[in-house]
Amino acid sequence: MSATTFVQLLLFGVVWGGLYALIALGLNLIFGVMRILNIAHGELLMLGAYLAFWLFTLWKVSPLLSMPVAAVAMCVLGLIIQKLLIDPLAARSRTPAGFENATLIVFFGVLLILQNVALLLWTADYRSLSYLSEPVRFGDISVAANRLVVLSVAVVLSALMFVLMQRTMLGKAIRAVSQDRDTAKLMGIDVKRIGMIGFGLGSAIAGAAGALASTIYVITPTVGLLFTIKAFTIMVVGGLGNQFGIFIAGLALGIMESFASFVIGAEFKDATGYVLLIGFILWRARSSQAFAEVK
Amino acid sequence: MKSGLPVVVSLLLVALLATGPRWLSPYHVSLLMTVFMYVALAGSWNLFSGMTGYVSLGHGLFFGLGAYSFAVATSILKLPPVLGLALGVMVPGLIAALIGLVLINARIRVAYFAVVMLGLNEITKTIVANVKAIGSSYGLTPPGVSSKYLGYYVLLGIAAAVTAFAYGVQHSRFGFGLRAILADEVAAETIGIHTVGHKLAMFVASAVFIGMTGAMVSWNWSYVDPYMAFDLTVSFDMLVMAMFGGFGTVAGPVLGAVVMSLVKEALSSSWPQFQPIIFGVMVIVLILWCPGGIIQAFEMMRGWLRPRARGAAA
Repeated sequence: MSATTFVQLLLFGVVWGGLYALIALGLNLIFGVMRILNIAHGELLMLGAYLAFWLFTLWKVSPLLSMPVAAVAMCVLGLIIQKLLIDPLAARSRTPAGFENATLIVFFGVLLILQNVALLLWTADYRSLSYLSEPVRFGDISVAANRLVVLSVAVVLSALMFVLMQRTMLGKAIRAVSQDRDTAKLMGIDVKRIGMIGFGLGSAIAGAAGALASTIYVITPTVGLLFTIKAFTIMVVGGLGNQFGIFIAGLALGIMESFASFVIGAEFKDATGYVLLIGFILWRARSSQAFAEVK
Repeated sequence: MKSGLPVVVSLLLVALLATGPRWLSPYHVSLLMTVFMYVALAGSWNLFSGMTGYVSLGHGLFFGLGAYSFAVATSILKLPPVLGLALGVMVPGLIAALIGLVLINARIRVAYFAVVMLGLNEITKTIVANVKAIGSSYGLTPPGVSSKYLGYYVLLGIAAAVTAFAYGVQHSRFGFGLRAILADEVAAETIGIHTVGHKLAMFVASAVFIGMTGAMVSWNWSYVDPYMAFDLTVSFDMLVMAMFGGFGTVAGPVLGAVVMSLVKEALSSSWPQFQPIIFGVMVIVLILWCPGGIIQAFEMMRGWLRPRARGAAA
């Protein structure tokens, strides 16, 4: 492997890793405030990607402009799901484990509904848009401009998330709820409101990430689940609630996938992250956050 | 004995169904095969997830592994179909044991377990779709069933075996252990129940039955491709059907699978594209209003009727 190839692969990996990290941050936020593992997270991303695709194809709207639109749209959808499904479930569930199980099944339903609605509306055709696809050269290395855009937007959004969570009162409240709901309630935090904000914000990030992903990846109705699984891997490996850890884990996964697809073939790219996850579970069994609650 | 009647009725029903091909039309025979398949799948899913409380969102993995084990054994290795079926049982069983040893032994939390399973199914699908040696996304065409109703009998046999197994477990000491785990895992462990062993055994048992179903289905269709074998809706359907009938009960998944597979059949001839959406809506409605399924609804109705009857008598 030449030095140029190495740098090129590294750069590709970092671009994807930044995007993965962003998606994982949203998933982590939702899990923190709501105790919900939203397996339909990637479906929101898919909808965001389609939105960007159609706005670009029909009216030549730049995906960068579609990004806030997708974020708002997915935030609204997320809040509707929350009001319609999660609130009644939370009111009905007697145990936290029962709630966790019920939400998993509900979101499996939501996942299938969204996938199949997308399939009905837009068929299974592979869609892609070409936005800023001309290469930018740095000496021997060339990279499509859109990848640089994706990387910088992902980094900026992640940094904003970090500032929000660490430097504002709202972030403090979100962290408090994530750590201990009951104590947070005792401290006068409106846990329900924080839950809504967290879910809305997490969904908005998924939508924005979808608009970003549409510029560098093909869009299909079933594209979401792989992103969800990768975000989940990153969340577990990076550490629940640990934003910095998640960002690093995201970059690591992106880089790993990039080298794996060069060395062992692109078809096994998606499996590498899973090997990482299973290895991590074996290594950290009984001591990490992932295993804190038996049931 | 209070539980004697349902057992006798079930045995008679199986005996009656065994004579089915003699007096049913070919359409009804194939419809019943689909029903048996779903009874086997929902019942097996329930063996693990319903009885231990660990929801698995990717049990379709074992269906796909069973189907592919059979297809690879018969169409690439040219083994006789019987060996293919045996592999279709052994491969999913071994892989389940391996997954179980990692995940269940690690005491991974419920939600993580569910998502890891979902991911395993999805990742396996993408790998299988890209490996040329096993047909990549074009799939494989194993030789078809030689005798006409073999698939019918085998699927009926699997469905009956799964149900009998669930009944046996429910009425054994082992079943009491499982119910203790379902109610409170920590307490179960404290009173000396080997919780990991119980869960692992049920996990492997469910994978074995599902694998065999998958193997038989791929033999029967004499075609298998990754998108069909590892289809997300396989994992989803068994969950919905078991839930529609009633989690953790013996009769629930059977009832649920019978009703829902008929609904599925009706929908797939009129609006196939809406079927997953309708199932998705159904699961949401169920979990919000009747998480215990038909069995719970039945008991709720009995509860409403009883005080009224008493009032009339007084």
